[in-house]
Amino acid sequence: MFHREVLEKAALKADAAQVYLRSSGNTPVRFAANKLKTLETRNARSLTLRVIHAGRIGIASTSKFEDADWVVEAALAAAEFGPEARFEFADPAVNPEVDVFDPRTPAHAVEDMVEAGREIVDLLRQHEPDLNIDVGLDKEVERTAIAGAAGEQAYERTSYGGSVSANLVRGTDVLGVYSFQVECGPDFDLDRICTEITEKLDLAKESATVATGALPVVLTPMAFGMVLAPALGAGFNGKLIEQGASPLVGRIGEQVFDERLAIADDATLHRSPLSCPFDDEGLPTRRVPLIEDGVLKSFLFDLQTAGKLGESSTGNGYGATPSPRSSATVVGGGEGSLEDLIGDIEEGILADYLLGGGQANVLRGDFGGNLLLGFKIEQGQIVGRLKDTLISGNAYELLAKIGRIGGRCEWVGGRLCAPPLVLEGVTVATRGQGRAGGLEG
Amino acid sequence: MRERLEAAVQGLDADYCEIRVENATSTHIGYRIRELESIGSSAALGGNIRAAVDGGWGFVSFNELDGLEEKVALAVRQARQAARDGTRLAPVEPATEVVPTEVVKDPAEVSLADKKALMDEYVEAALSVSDKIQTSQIYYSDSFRKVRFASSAGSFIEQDRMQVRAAGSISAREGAEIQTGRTSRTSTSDFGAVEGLHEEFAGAGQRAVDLLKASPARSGEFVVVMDPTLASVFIHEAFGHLSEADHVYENPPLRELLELGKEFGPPILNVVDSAAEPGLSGSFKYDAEGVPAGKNYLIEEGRLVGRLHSRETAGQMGEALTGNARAISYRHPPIVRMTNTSIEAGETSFADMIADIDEGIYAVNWLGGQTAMEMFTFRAMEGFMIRKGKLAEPLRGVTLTGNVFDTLKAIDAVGDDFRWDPGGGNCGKGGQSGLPVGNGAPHVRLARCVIGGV
Repeated sequence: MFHREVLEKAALKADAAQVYLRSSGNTPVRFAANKLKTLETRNARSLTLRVIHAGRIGIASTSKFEDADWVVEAALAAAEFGPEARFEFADPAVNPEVDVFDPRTPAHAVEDMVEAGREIVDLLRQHEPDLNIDVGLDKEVERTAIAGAAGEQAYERTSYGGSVSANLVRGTDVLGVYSFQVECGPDFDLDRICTEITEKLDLAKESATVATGALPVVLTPMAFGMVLAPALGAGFNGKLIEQGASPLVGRIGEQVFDERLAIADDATLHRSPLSCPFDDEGLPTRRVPLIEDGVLKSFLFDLQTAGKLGESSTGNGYGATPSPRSSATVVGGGEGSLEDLIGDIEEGILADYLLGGGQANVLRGDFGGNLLLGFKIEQGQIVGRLKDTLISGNAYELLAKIGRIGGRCEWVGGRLCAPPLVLEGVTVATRGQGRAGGLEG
Repeated sequence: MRERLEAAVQGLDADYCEIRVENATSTHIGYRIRELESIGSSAALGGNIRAAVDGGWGFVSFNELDGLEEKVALAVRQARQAARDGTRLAPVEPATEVVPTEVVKDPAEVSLADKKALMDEYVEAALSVSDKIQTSQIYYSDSFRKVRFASSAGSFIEQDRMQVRAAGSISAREGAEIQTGRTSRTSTSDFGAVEGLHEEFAGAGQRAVDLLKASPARSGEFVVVMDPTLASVFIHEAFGHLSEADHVYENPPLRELLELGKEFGPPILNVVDSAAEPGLSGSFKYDAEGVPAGKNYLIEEGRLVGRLHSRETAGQMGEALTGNARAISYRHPPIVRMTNTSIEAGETSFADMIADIDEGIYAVNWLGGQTAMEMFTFRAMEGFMIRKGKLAEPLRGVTLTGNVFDTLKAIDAVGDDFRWDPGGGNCGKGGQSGLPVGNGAPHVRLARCVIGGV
């Protein structure tokens, strides 16, 4: 075994060594322009050697499993200048039981994936014959192993998912509707995805306008991921806490957010495609409450960042070169359906899909994006699609006083589970009012 | 190796087959603030096989080079399973060539210690500007990649590619306000290009500090002048992606919308994509399908005159090959991508461009950009109000957004000060991000554009 050879050679030369090994097999099936286009088989593997030598960290990676000496020398060369280690490599411990391997996934026939893709195309085109549809379905089996002086641990994880992009071009107007799902097993819900898309297409038939100003905005779970997740992702990242760059630094225990808001990071959910029994540093994963009743509870740490701050890792060290990252973000629900939320609003916007949502100053909590798919709400009803409209605001300010949190949480691609919610007083910019005096940001 | 690859793609029951094997090494050094956060090397060996049968494609990627024949057979089998309505690849002359990279100063010959010492100086230069600097990410990377390609069309091409890059993103903070300045430099031939950048890094830090005092941009519609860097990103993002034929060729209404000959902008507008420019990030001699790189006009005097093709999209649309099939690595199949995309120089000086603007916005450099079909949004790094023909107070949070068709038509002045952006760009599409591209433009004025301020 190549990785044992690397570990043994490294152990002779470095003070401590750990090998991170990952391999994966995917079989993507792609439909382009309503027709099956490509079948793929992708196999990949990589080995990363992490050493701590004379108190410093060195890392080297390879997919060339033939020259153990090169990997060891490269890691040691890096350790000469590497960051000072503020931790020791983790020994295998008692990990949570997390069900992330579904034997039906590797057994699932490519023919069935092709069939599923055809059905999606047919269902959607029955609804709207002019649609141009791309579908990607993929199943994956991956194996992660971590080996060190005290032993080796490994897990296998499966995922099965699909994404659908449906485009409708009318003159110079391009309407795009997207949907995606990922789970551990081949439980792709065709009907759900098709219904979601056709409902949106129907709503987008009428067009509407809005004036530059401040309005309530209903975010779908998808829009939550685009508007708020980038800012929160940065704000809770242990590295930005360590540097004092997050606006949340030093505020643990404070009521920073609306008291109805609860958010946790959770890698222990069964059958969730980002779950795992241990993180990429070999530490047991756990559910990490970030916000409870609006009170700031914790940040996300890997070993090194935690070590610098005198904290403990939260089991969020991910990547070949580990750094703090979120797994699945789970937002607590309130009450009411998306329709109820819309029904409450006299004049506002329903935002579903944004362009450039995470492009603003995320460190500050800012977001700003063009509504790729967004609708005008008048008197509690969706009246039509909005175009050329930009919404912007600050995640921390808007989440401190939330309009309303909906009850039904939905998964967005395995990374986020969130309810729809209403943000009050979001800045809306559109054509034609700049010179007359727009809003001060 | 050559014989093995050539043998693997010949005599198959497929319309087309190609194989690619890649050998790469890379080094990176990354800092947060003053602290070296990561330093290391990596090596990669891998390949892929792509086959076409009746318009269906099979693709197999791998790290182990054993059993190539079975892998080829799998790709052909998959292609047959996906078969649809005939393979139409635009014909290409078989090429046999070993293309060496022309290296002036090779990063492989600079020690890790010297690379780190140089970056230590840049970190110091950027951070010593002010104690308001709160966070920064400064990094160095170099890579060397050798790709061998053989196809059933009879080509065998070996191409080397070197890239060296130094870049920084520096943020300053005052109270709740955080602003960011960035700089980057990329070269495909010379480590020397990333030496002596102390002033650039200090400048990025200073810009972040200066922006703290800038006023927030107002939301609404304005006359906007884009600096060459922002204009070059604009043309790449907003227009360039639309000219990629892969999402056009099988979409009849889009084909109609993007029919060659249509007027897309004013006669002063010329847009070109060219991998044949020497030494830029998006330059190469042959694309990933063995098609020679070319210089392709996309817009000439305001009219749409061309688009970017792979062999398949050119064949399907009956248009000439352009050599734009690219892949970020052996793990992915080639797709239609830009190379070095630019707006050609016009005749207006910057002074004339702003002289008659009563109130407008000068948007400079960029922090991010995204596009989806005809909609785009970009965040400028910094901005200035233009009042009565003069640059006035600095602005922060300038975000441009709109519809590309309207925005191209809104171009009413093209500057005489063309330049290629020395930072080089990284482009993402279809799950393949980090593809090196070049962007170039002069100053460009938009008669109207929606600005969203934060």
